[in-house]
Amino acid sequence: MVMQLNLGDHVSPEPGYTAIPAGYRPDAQWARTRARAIARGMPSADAYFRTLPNARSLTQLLADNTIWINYSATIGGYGETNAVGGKEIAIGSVAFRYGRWTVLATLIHELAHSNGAPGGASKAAEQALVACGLGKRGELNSGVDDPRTPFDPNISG
Amino acid sequence: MAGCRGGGSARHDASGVPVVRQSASGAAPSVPAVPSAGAAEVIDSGPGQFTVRAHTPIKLATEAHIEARAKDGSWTAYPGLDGDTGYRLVDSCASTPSPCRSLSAGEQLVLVPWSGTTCSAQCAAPCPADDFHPGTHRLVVHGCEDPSLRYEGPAFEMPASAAMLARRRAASESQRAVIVRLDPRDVEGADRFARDRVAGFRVRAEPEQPVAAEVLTGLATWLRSSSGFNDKVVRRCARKHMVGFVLQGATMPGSTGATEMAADFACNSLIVVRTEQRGRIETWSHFDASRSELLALVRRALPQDQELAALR
Repeated sequence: MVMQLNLGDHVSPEPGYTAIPAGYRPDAQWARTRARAIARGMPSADAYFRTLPNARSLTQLLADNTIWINYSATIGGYGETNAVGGKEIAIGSVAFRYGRWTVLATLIHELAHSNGAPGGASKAAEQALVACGLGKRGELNSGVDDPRTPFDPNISG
Repeated sequence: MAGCRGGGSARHDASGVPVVRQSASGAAPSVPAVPSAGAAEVIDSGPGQFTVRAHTPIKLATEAHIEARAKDGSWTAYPGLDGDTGYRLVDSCASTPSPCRSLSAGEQLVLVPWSGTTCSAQCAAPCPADDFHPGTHRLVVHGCEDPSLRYEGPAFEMPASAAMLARRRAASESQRAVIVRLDPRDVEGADRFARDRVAGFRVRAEPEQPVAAEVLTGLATWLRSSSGFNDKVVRRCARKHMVGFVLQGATMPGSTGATEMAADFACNSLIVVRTEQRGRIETWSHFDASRSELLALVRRALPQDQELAALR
């Protein structure tokens, strides 16, 4: 079982969530493969995800075939999840234009929301990137972004 | 705990006086309204906001019940509210009340509101996970020495989400406001008050500006909108072009009357923090559908701000 990418085989109940365009599918597939490798090889990833309100590991989320990764051309950001604890995720065109590492970062962030991480001023979802090796602890502690990592310490929600 | 036996029939207290329901919202009572004929009445002043008024000296059970109406019209009380303390006839969370609350004739008690949730229903601190209950509800209070005496408040509608409730309460309570510019890249948790932050975001160096009455009226209308907000989605998005509002005004028990709001026009996100007796309560939304309305209001409040003027 694996978390699913919408390649045209899913009709999301969320308006504006569509199939991933053909040109973006390699990056989406790479991001999912890379996320699974992180979950296998980096114990801090599963450990962090288990601290979130729904207490599932990253491995479990990535193996959940009821979670769908869609595309959205209209969201004003890198990506979104339909609700805290929701299973419909959309990666935005902005993330795909930045490239596959941003797609991966957005995937991890949104999976944290799927696992119960709150929105608003909370940084819990974005901090998942540090636990997944996509940001440095120094960025987290100082609040100063290192543009060489996908993690942004000033993203909240 | 007294369960619900269904509503609609007239009841009388021990003196034979009919129990009368009155509604501040104008909802039709199920028995003809007889002013001062009932021993006590429950008055709604907003969803989850109640006043209990005694017409004669009366002793009520401190623990009241919030009942939900099912599709078949039956009413059921929520168990275990507020960390099993129950929803209580208190106007302050600071005291530990006795099991009975006495009211003299003419006395009224404005209750600490119901939050719409189960765990942090009234005075309990916010819970990591909690259930919000939209839909039709009513407050029922009971006699203390005779629990079979029921005083049923009018039915009211809890809005669709905690975020919508927070916006509506902020809109109702606000009598004055200031607006500030915020730094989107300097945010801490909104759960702690800080003089130099609004909803967790640092206030920029520019001085705060008072919000003119007509802009505040427009802001309240915007906050009350049913269709202008999405209270469910959560986004990965870098905030920009942020403004903050501090709204102050009439206080209800359970709140200090101060609401902090942080809005940004890149992610169209809104964070609302209300200071209540149970703590600082944060809710969040996205306002893609009503962005133009808020931007127009903000531009009127800060007419000299070049950054906001340039936004599309």
